Amino acid sequence: MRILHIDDEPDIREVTALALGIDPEIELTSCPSGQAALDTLKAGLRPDAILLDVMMPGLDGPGTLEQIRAMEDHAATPVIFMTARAQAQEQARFIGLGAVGVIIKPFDPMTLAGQVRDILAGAKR
Amino acid sequence: MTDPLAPLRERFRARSAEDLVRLRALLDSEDTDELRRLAHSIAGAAGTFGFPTLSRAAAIIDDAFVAGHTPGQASFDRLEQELEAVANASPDLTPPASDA
Repeated sequence: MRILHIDDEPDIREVTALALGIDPEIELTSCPSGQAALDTLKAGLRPDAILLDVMMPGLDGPGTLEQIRAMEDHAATPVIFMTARAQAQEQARFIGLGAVGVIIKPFDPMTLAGQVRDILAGAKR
Repeated sequence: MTDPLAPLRERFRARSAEDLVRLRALLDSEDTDELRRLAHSIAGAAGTFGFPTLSRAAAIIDDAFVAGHTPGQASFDRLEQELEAVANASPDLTPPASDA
């Protein structure tokens, strides 16, 4: 399973890589910004899912999602937001934007891969 | 068994000293946009690296901004204290016992 992770925080990218590395079936690509992710997708990456930070300088998470959805090849790629905001209202807004789920930071590195798989399985049902 | 997160946790701890300096400068300049971004970032990262007390202090500020309020001075004072505590903690590569 190919996953694209987008977060401007280097430490979070690194801990996410370690956390998802627990699952041998996950192949991870990390990007430090929404724009870098769009460039990576335009260059031909075909992820099975995208993990997207909400608050980033420049192009933020929702803005990045909007542009991903406008790309023909990625209009239906499942996107999971990652955010420190925990309010139910905010989570509902993210789902309304077209995300299949929300992972709240802080997350437990030991269970992150399972969380991602659970959200993606739920989205398929 | 070696904890694969230990080096990242130690790097986060060391960076807390920089975040503390940055927080004080942003409070002096009353840069609310960057204060919000800093609190949001700390709220997410601190808990992931094993510092939930610091994470909660930052989350209170983040939540206030999300709700459209200006966080009170007491919230920023608490965040300063928690950043200072993490920055000055022994770099023993383990999260504080009270935070575990």
